[in-house]
Amino acid sequence: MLKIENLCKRFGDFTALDHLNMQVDKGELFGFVGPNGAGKTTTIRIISGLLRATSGEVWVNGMRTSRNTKKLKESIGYVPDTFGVYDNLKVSEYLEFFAAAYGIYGKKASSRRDEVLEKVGLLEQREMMVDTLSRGMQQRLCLARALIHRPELLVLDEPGTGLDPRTRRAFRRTLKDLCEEGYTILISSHILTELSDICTSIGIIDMGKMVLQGQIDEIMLSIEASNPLLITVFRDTDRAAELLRRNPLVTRISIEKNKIAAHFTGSREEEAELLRELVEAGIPVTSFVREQTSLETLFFHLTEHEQEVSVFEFESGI
Amino acid sequence: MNLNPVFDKEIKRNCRSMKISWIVFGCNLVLGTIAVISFFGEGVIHGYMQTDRYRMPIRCYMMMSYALFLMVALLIPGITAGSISLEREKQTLDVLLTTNLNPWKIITGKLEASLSMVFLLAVSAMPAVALVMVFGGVGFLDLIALVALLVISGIFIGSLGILCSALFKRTTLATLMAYVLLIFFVAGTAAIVMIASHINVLQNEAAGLYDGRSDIGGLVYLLLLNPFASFFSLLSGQVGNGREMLDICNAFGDYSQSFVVNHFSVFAAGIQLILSGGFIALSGALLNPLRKK
Repeated sequence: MLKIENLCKRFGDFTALDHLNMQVDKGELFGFVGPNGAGKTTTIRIISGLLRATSGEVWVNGMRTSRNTKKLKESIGYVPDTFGVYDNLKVSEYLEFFAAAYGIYGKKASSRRDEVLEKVGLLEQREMMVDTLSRGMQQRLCLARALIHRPELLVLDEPGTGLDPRTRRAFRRTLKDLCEEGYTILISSHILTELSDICTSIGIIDMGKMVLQGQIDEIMLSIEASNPLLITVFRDTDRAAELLRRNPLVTRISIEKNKIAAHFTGSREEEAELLRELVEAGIPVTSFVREQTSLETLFFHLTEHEQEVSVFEFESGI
Repeated sequence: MNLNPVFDKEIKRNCRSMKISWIVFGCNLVLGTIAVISFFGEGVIHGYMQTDRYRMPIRCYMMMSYALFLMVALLIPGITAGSISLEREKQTLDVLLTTNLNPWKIITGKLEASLSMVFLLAVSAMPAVALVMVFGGVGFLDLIALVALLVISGIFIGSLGILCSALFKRTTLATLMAYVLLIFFVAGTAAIVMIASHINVLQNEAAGLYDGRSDIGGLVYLLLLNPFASFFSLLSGQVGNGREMLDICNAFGDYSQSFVVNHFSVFAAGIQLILSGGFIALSGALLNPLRKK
């Protein structure tokens, strides 16, 4: 659905995006995460046709965005991080205006308007003035506006900014529902934990480069695979350590009392084989697990130079 | 036929705004006051049906026409200079640019909305201005020509305002620059012509010619860019002797045979419309986020 190849963006001497590569498949809810200044908004503005890339290509639905601007606009629904609304305009008129902006008029526009209002739970507020809506309602209206022309790809730039936790949760649920309906969603945030709950894939960007990308399950598996095996034995710690040292897949071990941390490069199946060997050698193994790492820890590790900023942002929340 | 969505939206918003009602009320109050003073002031004192007072309704028409032009010149830059910059300041522009509306359509929608304001003013002023038709001297076609030139001036001044709005990010700066540019086109062009004439006279005197006449050649056509000059020329044709503009131009050379000067208001309106097209195209280019810098 979305493919970014070697995307670069320079503002004078400053490189905002440095050969960024990224891919979002159809039907995915992709979390685009990174600390402030990492290049998230720049990437999203280029995808949405609001900024010209210095070099590189963006493909949406197989089309090069630099050559098919009109088609691109029809394929993308954009929700910016900060946005304003028009005064002296009703909710229904606001959506009808944007429907007309995409060439949808008359009854088709009215039915689409009601459809998207129902989707975001604002149908009852359709006769209200847009500027009298609460911040949360305005955010939902902005989402409804982005859906009015049935885009295939929804691009949301830190949409939860300034919302209270309850509204954020409801907003996330709406996004999950939209994803289940078949929309492909790209959502940026600096709060990984919130996105990891709803996203099917994530991409971590730092200093204009994609440092990690993939499906959440696969990432978790790969993180765990690089973590040491934590083996606790009831006794015979030295014998267990000796047995482990002899295994070619164990690269390093460390021992603390009856706990052994072994860096094991094997697969899940080879892990099970190792456990069997230990048990068959008569070593009383009381626990045998991979050290757990959260996505959050990984995020901090990958964006280490920004750690202090990130911690602050974690607390301030989307 | 579907309306330009931007125009449609602006009209809806304007209709609900009290600002427009107050502007129309204020303009008509000014025109009404001019009419009342003319008819019930001067007329009652001197007797407006007397034959020697026949120019009184014509003067009233002139005053009302100039008042209308002044109102358009004062209001339109203020309205149009915020058309793009306010969208930018209110953070609604980005969303607008991601829709299927191209920058050209956004700009024309904004211009149409500000022109509707000129139309509203001109049409609402019709009853007051038409008072003079009772006494003759000004016909219906004259009124139509007046409204047409007001609209053309509105397009010119409005496109100037929109260009400033696209060029400058802050509305206050855009508004200031729109008025500065308008002053340049109204007073600046006249000043350039007069300075050039004065330099020409000085050059003639240095060459030993002391007749005080000047000939600035084609520079006089700079006045075609002056919306006030075109308006003055139209009114001169309607209620004057029709030679006032030619006399002014002849002060800077001999233009008696100039086809352009003899049809000044038509050419000025045409050139101002062409220039407006240029301003709008430039605004559209400035608004395009994907333009090459």
